Amino acid sequence: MKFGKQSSALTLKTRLLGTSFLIPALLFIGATMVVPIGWNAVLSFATWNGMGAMKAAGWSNYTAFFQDTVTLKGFYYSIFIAVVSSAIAVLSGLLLALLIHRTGRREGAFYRFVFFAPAMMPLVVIGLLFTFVLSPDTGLLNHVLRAMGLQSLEHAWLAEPGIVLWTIAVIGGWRFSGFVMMLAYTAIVALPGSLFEAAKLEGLGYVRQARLIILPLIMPTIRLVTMLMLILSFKTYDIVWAMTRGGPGDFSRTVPVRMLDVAFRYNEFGYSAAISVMLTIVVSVIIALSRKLTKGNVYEY
Amino acid sequence: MNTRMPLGGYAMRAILVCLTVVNLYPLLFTLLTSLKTSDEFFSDIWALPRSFFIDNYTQAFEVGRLGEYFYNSVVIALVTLFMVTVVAAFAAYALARLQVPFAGAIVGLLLIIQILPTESMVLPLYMMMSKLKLLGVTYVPVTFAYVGWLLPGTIVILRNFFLSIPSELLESARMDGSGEMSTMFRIVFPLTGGAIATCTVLNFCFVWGELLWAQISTLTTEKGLPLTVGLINFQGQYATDWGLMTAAICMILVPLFLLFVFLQKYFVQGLTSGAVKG
Repeated sequence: MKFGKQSSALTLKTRLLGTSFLIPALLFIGATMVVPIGWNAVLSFATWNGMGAMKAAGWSNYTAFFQDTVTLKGFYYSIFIAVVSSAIAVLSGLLLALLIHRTGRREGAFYRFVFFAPAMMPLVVIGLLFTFVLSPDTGLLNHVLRAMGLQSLEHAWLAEPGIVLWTIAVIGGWRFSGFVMMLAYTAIVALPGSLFEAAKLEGLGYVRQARLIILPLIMPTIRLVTMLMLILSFKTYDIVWAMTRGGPGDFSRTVPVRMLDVAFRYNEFGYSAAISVMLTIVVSVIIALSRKLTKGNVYEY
Repeated sequence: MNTRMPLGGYAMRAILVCLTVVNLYPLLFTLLTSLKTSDEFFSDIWALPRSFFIDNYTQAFEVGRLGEYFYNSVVIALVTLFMVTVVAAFAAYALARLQVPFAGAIVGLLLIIQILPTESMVLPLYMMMSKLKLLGVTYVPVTFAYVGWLLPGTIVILRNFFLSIPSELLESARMDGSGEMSTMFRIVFPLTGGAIATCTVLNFCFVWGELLWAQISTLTTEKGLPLTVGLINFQGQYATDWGLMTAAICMILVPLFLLFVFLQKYFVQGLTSGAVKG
């Protein structure tokens, strides 16, 4: 009791100190994230050509949005790429983790290194690498197909409307599969070994062990990873820009590419802001949905 | 009963080896191509380089200005990482241990804001920078935005780490008459090395690979272009000169691979600490 007053003075001092430590960070975050997001929302209700004064425009940017097929298709492309590459990344990542779990220590470390490496390569570089590997005449993939006598499977991978989206999505999925593998592998290693002993005594093969024991137990990790993948795969700018610049025609013009076109080529900043507001909404909805869909039991062990 | 275990083991290994080849061969192929002249490449793309031909590299370095871009990227990365680490460490410690009002709410907001796509921030940022006449200033617009964007994730990770330091340790320091400041600098920060390394590696990957904002913020200038933008310009100029292109790709990847080999531990820790940005 005697120290009551003194300690509350101490607390106040601590709090002041803490707040002053926090302020620089909050200023930075405010200036680069909070204020821009707010401003972006305001801008989406205005017309502005990059110079001169802004004019209030009511909902006109949004009505334009729903009639603009190029932009709407862009949303379809972005969602397609995000969903397909997340699915590929999660499935192949889990498979890799299960395979690598069965190999020895040294060997496992080697495979983990090999498969994780793409995850840290910048998307721009991956994009450039694949424009080389996939180029129609001189590309590695078409040469390999030709050498195997599979001429019918040769494609101009980045120049055919029906194929370009799949190509981008598969590359994105490949890039992140190592990421999923690493997280899943860490989760599997953390499972108690006694579980596997018991399963072995029961004569369970590895496939059934994986299906009945490992996968259900690492479900929380799988859920987390799926969310992460969706968030990350919605960043469809770098890889698309490096590989196709939105082409052929508009067939891979994803939302961010379209957004920048609208702003910096056609100078319609207000409309561009409206597109990015819609993107934020769509991304949030999909993440919330995926959270709902993947909700489930957590097993105790 | 399953007695086919060894067979299954071989099948698995075969799959893994195949996938390894699929993963590594394109890289190897790129490396080999970068060491060939164009004539060599077009006459037989499979052949090994006849001599150790490094003209592609010197050309990419000088004509393609990759050396300059590389330097710019290093400067941007160093400044960004330094600022993020310092600012985030103070903020995270305040949120974890210094009884800041509304700490819980602030952390919640940080988690949410970190998920929002940066696409919804770049236009206003561009306008802000142009109003403040900062667009022409080398490095500043790029670095400023990166620091802000990386702070939320870094603060969350570091805060979790600070929370994991047993409070008895801090209590006993307080008992011994250590003020908050000296507790922080003498006791807490020295323990933080691993967590900071983890964040630094993650943040480095973001800064090194970011393209969208880097491109927008350098639209009006020729100076201070980071590597990503430089590479895209390079691609625009030398699109089908595969010798040069592959040399450029290798120049970016080799240092990154070396870094990765030495810091793999921190990459993995970064993943498991639940960071989102990347």
